[in-house]
Amino acid sequence: VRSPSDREGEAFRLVLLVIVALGLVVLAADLGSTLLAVAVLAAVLVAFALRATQLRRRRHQALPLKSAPPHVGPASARRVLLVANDLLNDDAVIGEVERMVFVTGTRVILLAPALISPAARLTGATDAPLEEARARVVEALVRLGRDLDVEGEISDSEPLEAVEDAVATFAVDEIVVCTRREQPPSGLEPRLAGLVRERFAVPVRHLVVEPGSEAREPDKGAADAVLR
Amino acid sequence: MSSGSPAVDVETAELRPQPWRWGHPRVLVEHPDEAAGLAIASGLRFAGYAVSICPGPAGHGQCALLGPEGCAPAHDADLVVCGLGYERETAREILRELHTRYPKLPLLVETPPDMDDELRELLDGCAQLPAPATPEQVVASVQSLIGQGAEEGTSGA
Repeated sequence: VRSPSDREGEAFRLVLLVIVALGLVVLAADLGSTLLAVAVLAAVLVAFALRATQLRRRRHQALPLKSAPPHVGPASARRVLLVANDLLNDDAVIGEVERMVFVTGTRVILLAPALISPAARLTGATDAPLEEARARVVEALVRLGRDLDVEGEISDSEPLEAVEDAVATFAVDEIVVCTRREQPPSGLEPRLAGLVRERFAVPVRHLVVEPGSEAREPDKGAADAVLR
Repeated sequence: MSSGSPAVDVETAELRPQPWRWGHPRVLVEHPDEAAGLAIASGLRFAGYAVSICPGPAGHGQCALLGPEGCAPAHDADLVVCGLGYERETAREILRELHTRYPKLPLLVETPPDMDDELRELLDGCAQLPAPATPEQVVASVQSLIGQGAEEGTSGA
C-alpha cells in the first residue's frame, strides 16, 4: 500500500498526527466514557480518510504530464512492456509477443499485475492472486521458449502502479496493454490503456482480445487494426 | 516580469509533487500536439534524456505556472523545449512565467515565421528553432545547449 503523501515532511506530520489522534482516543477512554472514545476515534478516522482522498486527488490533478526515463542501450535496442493478466496465455497475445521479439534487438517484458481486491489488500490475503499471476507468467514463458528475449514480472501493486514501477525499472520504449473489451471479474480494466497513455511519454498500444477472435487495436485505424 | 507572480523564491522553493522519477539530464517538452510531442520526446529519450511532455494550458485548464505553486516539472528540469505556438497570448504568458520564475533554466523555443516586436523581446536569451522543428533538430539543439544525455543513451535519435 502506497502512502498518499509525496514528501518526507508530510509523512512526518502524518506520523505526529497519528500519535496525537491516538492520544486523544486514549484520553477520551481514560475519562471514563467509551462512547466518547469511539466518537473521537470515528472523527479521527473520517479526518484521515478525507485528507488521504484530498492528497490522492491533488496528486492526480497535479501529475497530468507524460514522462519517461532515458532509453537504455544502443539505438537499435527496444524494450517493450506487455501488460496482461488473464489474457497472458491467449494465442493472440503469445503471437503478438513472438511477432515483436523477432525484430532484432527487441526485448519483451511480460508484466502480470496480480488482481488483488481491496478487501484482500486490507487483510493481506494476497498470496493466491500473486501465485495465479506467477503461474500465468511461467506458462507464457514456457510457451515462448528459452531462445526468445522475453522475461516475466509479477506485481502486487495496483495495475497502473505496477506499470509505473516497470517503466522505472526497465526503461521501456513501448507499452502494450492487453485487455478484453469489457472488464471480466478476473481481468484488467480496459481503461487501463488510456491511463497508461496519459502518464508515460512512450508509445502505448491497446490490444483488445476476445476469446476465439482476432486481437484488435481500437485506437488504430480499421485498416491496420487486425494483428494476426 | 509578470505582475501576477507570487513573491516566493522559486529557485529554492520546495514544490509538490516531485514529478521526476528519473535522474538528470531532464527535458520538459511543451507541445500541444500529442504526436509531435511524443516524437520529440522519443528522440530525446534515445539521446539519453529523461523527458516529460506537457500539452500546455489547452490540455489541463489553467497552467500550473500561472498559479502560486509553480510548475514542478519545469522547476526540476535542465531544459524546456517550448513549442506551444507563440502566436497565441496564452503561450506567451507561459513563456513569460518561465523566464520570470526560472531565469537560469535554458529554454529552446520553436518560433513562428512571423514575429512581432513583443515576441522578439520575449525570446531574448532563449535558443530558437524555426517551427515546425524536426525531432532531430530539437535533439541537436538540446545537446548543444546542455550537453550529451546520460551515458546509457546513444546519440542516434
